[in-house]
Amino acid sequence: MLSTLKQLVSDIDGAWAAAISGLDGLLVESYSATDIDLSLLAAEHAGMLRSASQAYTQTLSGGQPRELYVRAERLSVYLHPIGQNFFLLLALSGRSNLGQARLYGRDAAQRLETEL
Amino acid sequence: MRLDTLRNLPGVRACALVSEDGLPLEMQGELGDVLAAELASLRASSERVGRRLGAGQMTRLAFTSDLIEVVAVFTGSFTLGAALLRGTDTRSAQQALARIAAGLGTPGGLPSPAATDGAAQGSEVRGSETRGSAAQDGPVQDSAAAERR
Repeated sequence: MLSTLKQLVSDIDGAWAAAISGLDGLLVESYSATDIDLSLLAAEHAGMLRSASQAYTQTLSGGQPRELYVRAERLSVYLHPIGQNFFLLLALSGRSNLGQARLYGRDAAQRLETEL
Repeated sequence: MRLDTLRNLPGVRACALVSEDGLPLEMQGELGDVLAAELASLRASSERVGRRLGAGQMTRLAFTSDLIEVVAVFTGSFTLGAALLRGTDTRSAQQALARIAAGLGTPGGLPSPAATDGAAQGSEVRGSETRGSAAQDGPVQDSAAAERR
């Protein structure tokens, strides 16, 4: 799993970290090109993904979210669910290649689902 | 759609119009989304090379692999490219790319880069220059490439 995360950070322009987390917010595996601790990032985004999931499945009848992208002033994060209980997190810089993040994140999530 | 003329050319496997974030505005072909993401990445790299070499603004890109040939033109902050089967004559595709790129700068074309994203700093002026040169360079360079072959 670590090699997959490293490959993602290497292949996606502007990506500086990748992680696999449970929807409970606990990190399963992570890789960062910086020394930033990803625990808080994973915990906060697990909450966001849970909220989005609840809103879309229960309130909006839109089904399970397939991806979630949040772009802030200094941080962008792309999330892709892995099965029912986990998700892939990609931390991106402001001028990252979101197209690569979506494509390669989706491929990685499909591969990782078999390992979790 | 803007890419219809490209799609129908012989040998074209995929084509895409993509912004600098790698998301396709329009694409055709099974690998259109991958082509879009990688063209945006290649453009960022080639612009760094151009800047470091003092070569000026990059306007077009072409490369050949074992299986495909890729040609692309840069217009404003957008990239327009096509992947063709190896061995296909790329001249008509390059001419079509140049024509489409020129059309993107006309009313009803793409929004200005400044309007699409505040991060596209200073690309508005660069965009108009690129559009002009992409449209003008196309047939000239196509002929030169044909002669080399």
